[in-house]
Amino acid sequence: MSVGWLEVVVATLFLSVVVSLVLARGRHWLEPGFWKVAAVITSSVMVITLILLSVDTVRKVSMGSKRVPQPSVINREIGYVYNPDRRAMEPVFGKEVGLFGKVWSEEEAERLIVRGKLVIQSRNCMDCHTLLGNGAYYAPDLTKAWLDPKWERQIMPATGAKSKEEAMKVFLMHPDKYPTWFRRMPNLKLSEEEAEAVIAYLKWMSAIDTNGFPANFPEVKVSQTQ
Amino acid sequence: MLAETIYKLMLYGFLMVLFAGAYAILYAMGRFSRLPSLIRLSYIFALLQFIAGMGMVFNDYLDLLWKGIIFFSTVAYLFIPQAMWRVVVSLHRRHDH
Amino acid sequence: MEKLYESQKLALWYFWTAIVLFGAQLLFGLIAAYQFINPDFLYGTLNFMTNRMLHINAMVVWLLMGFIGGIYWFLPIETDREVVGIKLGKLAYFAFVGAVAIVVLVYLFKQFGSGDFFTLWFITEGREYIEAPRWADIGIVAVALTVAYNVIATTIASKKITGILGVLIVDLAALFGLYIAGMFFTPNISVDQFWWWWVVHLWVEATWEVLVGVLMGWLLMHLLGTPRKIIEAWLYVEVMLVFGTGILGLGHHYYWIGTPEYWLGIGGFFSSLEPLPLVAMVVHAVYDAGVHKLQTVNRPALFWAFAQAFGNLFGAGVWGFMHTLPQINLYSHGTQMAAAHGHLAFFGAYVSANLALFYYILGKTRVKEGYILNGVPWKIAYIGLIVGIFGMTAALTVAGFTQTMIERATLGSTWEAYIQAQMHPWMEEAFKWRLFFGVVFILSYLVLLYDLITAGKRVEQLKEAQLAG
Repeated sequence: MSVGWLEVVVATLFLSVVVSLVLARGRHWLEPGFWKVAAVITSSVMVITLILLSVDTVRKVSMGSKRVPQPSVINREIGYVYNPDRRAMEPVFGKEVGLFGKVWSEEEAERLIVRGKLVIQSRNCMDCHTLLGNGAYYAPDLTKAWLDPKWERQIMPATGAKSKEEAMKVFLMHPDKYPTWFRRMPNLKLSEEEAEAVIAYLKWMSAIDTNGFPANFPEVKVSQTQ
Repeated sequence: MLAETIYKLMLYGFLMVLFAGAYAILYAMGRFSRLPSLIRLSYIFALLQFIAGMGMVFNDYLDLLWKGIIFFSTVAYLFIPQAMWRVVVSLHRRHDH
Repeated sequence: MEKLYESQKLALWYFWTAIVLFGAQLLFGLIAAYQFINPDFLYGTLNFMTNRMLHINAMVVWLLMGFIGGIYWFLPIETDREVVGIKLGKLAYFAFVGAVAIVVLVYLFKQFGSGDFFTLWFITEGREYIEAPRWADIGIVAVALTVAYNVIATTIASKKITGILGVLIVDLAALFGLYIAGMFFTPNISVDQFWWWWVVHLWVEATWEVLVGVLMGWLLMHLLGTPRKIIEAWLYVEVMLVFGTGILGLGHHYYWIGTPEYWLGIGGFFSSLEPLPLVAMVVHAVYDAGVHKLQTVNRPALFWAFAQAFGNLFGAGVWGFMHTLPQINLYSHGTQMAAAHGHLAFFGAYVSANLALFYYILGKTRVKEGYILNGVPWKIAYIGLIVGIFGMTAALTVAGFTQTMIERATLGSTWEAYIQAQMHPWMEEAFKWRLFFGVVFILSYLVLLYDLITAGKRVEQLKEAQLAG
């Protein structure tokens, strides 16, 4: 179902005003009773609209939808390119390359994603970082962290790791040993398995269609080799 | 340059509502104290508010629909203080014992 | 002075606890602000993430406690009887305070746990503003249900329901019910944040606004003698405007979290209209100020009430509008711009309201009939807190502009872009000024605390009432 947003806006405002005026007939506009009707009707129209839109939205962001991929996307190359028709950047998916040297089944990938989210919540990542732009502003946004150039440019050489995900793992387990500037990430005692889960999560998260946030990001095409 | 465009949009948006607020406060003070000079001062802020709004409307970064929404707001702000004043006075006249 | 209802004594407990937690909020805010300047301070011992969590959780809890205190103060007056189930209400207070104490101690000393459900149930849930572990969530719901029971049962026992009580009951049902929307785990971050915003936005941009409308309505009615019909009409207008723009204005949090594009239009449209009612409402505030010539038996309560009207307009309206359009928000989302807006909006809309209420209650309990609550310290605190919050907000606005223009619009929103923007001279200066004004704010809080403790107790503050009619 394609919902035209302008139609929704116009309809809710129109309904609120018209139904209120009809139901408040006979009440003087300077009496509380008049505005009581307006308040009840307006709130009801807006709440009902919100509920209907929420049902539609939750369906459209469930895992495996067009906007939010299923967990096994972690096996594929993920990119981020500008789409001139949408006037926004969007994720693109490439060939199967696996993660941490293996191809994960749908169930294994889902377990990794669940664990990754539990680790992220257990370590309060959101109280320093932002995820999808929400959180605290003491550390960088993590929406496209998986695609960030710094892993290859700085962290891989610094850690001596042979792949991006290995570099990420070493970093996450000992961030205090690899400062990138004078504000350091504290050591949150991640186990190796927890670190892998977080990395899988970051990779999965970078594949969500966020309507182009963050904008201006350096394009990552999926035919690009590392 | 993108940074400059975004910065200008934010600044005009900020000034538009700020001046609209100043207009409303000064207008209400002027009407209450029956000071025509204060009311005239408030109209200056009304004009400034309108100009700031136009700054957003004439920015090519927004498309026509959004220009329309901003234009509607900036015109509405011109009349809100007067309309509200009349509502508030009528309300109190009717209900004050 | 009249004898207090038991409910009003409970209100006082809630307010004193709230003020103490306000101090805790400021202490952790100060440490966090200092860590922006000197990141090695308490690194590894008390990290930024813990300070920030304590800062925002203390804020949410103290503001809520103040509102609950306001409800307990006015409820027996509105219903003309003692509150039904007040003993249960008092028990709930102790449970609330106990739960908060345990949660804070765990935050401070355990700080985080391993990636499993035990951590989410007993240490932290790690979701901004609602980090409280699941066991505490259940405790909060229990306390909330007790407050709701007290309100509803007392209303029923009084055999009539005023317009104000009607709005309060519906609003409380929504407010407390919404909290439950955050009490679940999902691996899907888009779904997580979708429902999370139902709690956070529909709290502070909808149900909390209406709750403050109810409490301020009662305050103005009893402090200024504003006729009930005007308060009621105004309250209904406010509900219409706040819910009318705020419920679908929720969409301004759904631009970038994976949700469909229609939210860009719906959210952007409604939230760009949100300042219009605020500009309108400030006209009424000026009228009220003028009518009473700023004279009243309780000057600090009146002045904080006006701070609420104007603060709401500037913090929420001006600063909110500046970054609400999706075309702009794409670049400013997740920057210090949000922090600038948030600090001023919360102070303007909610801190001011709570302080107005607390001063009003202190006036009723400490000042004899015919005397005025006034003095010097409250004025110093008033000016200091307002200067402090505007200073912090201005500094964070500069930081927000810098981040938006440099990190996002110019350098490409990468990790390195983030660092470059943070190291920019404007940014570094902004954080220093924010800290400076934060210190101004916290010193003013100490003056406020002194005044709250001593208000009305010093004879020289009391003057003969000279009110004309």
